[in-house]
Amino acid sequence: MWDSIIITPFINGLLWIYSVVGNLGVAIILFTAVTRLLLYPLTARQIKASQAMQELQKNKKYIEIQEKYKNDKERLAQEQMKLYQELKISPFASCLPTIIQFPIIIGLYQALIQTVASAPIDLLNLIRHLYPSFLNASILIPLNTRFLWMDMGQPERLFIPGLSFGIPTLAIVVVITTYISTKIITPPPSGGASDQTAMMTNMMNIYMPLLMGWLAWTLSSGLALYFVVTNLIQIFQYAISGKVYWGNLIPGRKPVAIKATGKK
Amino acid sequence: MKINRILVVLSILVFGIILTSCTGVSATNSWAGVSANDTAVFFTNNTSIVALKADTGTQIWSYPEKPAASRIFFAAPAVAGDQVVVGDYSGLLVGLGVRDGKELWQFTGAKGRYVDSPLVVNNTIIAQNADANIYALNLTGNLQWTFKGTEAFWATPVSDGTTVFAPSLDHNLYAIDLANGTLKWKAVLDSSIVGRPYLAADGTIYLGSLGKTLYAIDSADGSIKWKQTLGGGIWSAPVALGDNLYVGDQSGKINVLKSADGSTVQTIDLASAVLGSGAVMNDQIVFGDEKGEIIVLTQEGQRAWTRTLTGKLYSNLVFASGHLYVLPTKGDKPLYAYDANGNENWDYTPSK
Repeated sequence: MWDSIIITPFINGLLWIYSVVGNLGVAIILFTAVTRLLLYPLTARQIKASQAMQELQKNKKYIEIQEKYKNDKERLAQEQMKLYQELKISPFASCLPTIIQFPIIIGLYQALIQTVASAPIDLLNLIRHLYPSFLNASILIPLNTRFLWMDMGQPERLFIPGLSFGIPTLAIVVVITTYISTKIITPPPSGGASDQTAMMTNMMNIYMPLLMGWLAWTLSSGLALYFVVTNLIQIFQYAISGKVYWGNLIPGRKPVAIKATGKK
Repeated sequence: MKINRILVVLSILVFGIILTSCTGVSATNSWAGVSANDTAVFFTNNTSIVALKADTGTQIWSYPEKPAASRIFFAAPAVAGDQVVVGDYSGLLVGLGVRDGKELWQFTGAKGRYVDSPLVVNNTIIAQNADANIYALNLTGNLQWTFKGTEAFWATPVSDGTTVFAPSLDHNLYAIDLANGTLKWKAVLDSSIVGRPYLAADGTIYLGSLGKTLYAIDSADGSIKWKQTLGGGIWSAPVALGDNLYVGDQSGKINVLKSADGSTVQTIDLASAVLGSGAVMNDQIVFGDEKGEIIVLTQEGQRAWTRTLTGKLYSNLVFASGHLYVLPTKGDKPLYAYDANGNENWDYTPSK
């Protein structure tokens, strides 16, 4: 069911674009962009909802509640829920679009993996995923997996004359773009945000880019390209929403805590 | 505070594991290969090559001494006199002592996978690689020449002793001079060739394509003598017996065709993909299918006997010295040996 609803349409969509452009790298870029564009309504809702939650942390009443009931977790939760209802904010509104997007992103990821078939069983599975009336496997295969200096089916390394090793440039770009995409959406700490929240956010900002970089370093460059394009589109989407914190990218600059607003 | 920190790190790790597990990077993305001489059988078992005594199935040796996930073996080893030549998915080709499995030499010149066995002809090792090159080596692993194609070479070529006939995923069959690696001719076919060709004594090359076409090609000049469209993609070499060719296809049929003109004699529907090459077993033909069935056919196309194993029979079947060797993919055991009447002689269980 997962296969027929998610992966098979994705593979056919990706390979249809490939059949038009004739290059898997270009097809991955276009397909990722199109998919992200289709998911944009969900992403926009997620951005809006998370911004509302961020605004809430600057709310004077919210900060007062945090301070007043910091030793009574149950009461704190009750008061927070009251405030959510009062301000018409749903704490789950930012999670729901993410939850809906997650299987689609995983499916996209699996479709990419299966498309860059470089072994017999992978190729057999790929052929079986194609809609025969839509795409002709015998014409499509072998896929042109070369893109710039990369082979989309292999981990990327850039070999420079004089160097005895290859530089994982795409993995480096993945680390940088993941760092930027997570850092610029992290608001400066507000009075209402706990130390724990700030600490967890900081850890995510450090470990997530490293994890993505490690995946890009070890897995096929087609996936690394997908990560890069996804990150760039994400940065763009947040930028057009107007709520990005470019100042977070300046090294050594300490974030200035946002003052509480007078909203009640 | 510390617990929260651990939770964050753990959740990132879980995310990484989910993504990694979604990649489908499993050890099994091809099927194993087997070859045999009079006294021993050699087969690839994921991270190792195992040599067994042909009559009892007792292990003689295993290579490498310490298997590693970075070295995956699927291509059947090629037996060449006192050595066994085998390539892996990391692009390493090695020569091993046939008696003890000790490494004699390494060739590290390839950048891609060795998907099928190398060919050994006139003391030359022809090693086709997924990096779109064919490497010719002497029996000590020294490079003699390289032929560059445009796409991956998967299937083992054939040779008449002076010319190498190598099929490629780039839709071409290349005829290459064995002595110096120069191109003699190439035949442009309808789609990728992933199965081995079969070279008949009269100089005709029979091979099938993923585009469902079986070709008969003149080895002298690459001209197509005839071609025939089958029901599914062809993943392996045709088998010849008498005046007929027997070839399985992805739609689950065994096609019996006249060698002379490609006309259909009979079609046997197994309703399960037949990807591996069949084998001639005395005066019968044996095939394996995706649902794990071994089917033995008489020359008239009647079923002589069948056996069913767990797993999928994708690998080429090999019949040598009275033993039929069968390697199920994802089966209970990696190798079974039968006699010609379907009695199981032995099977192999890897030691833990």
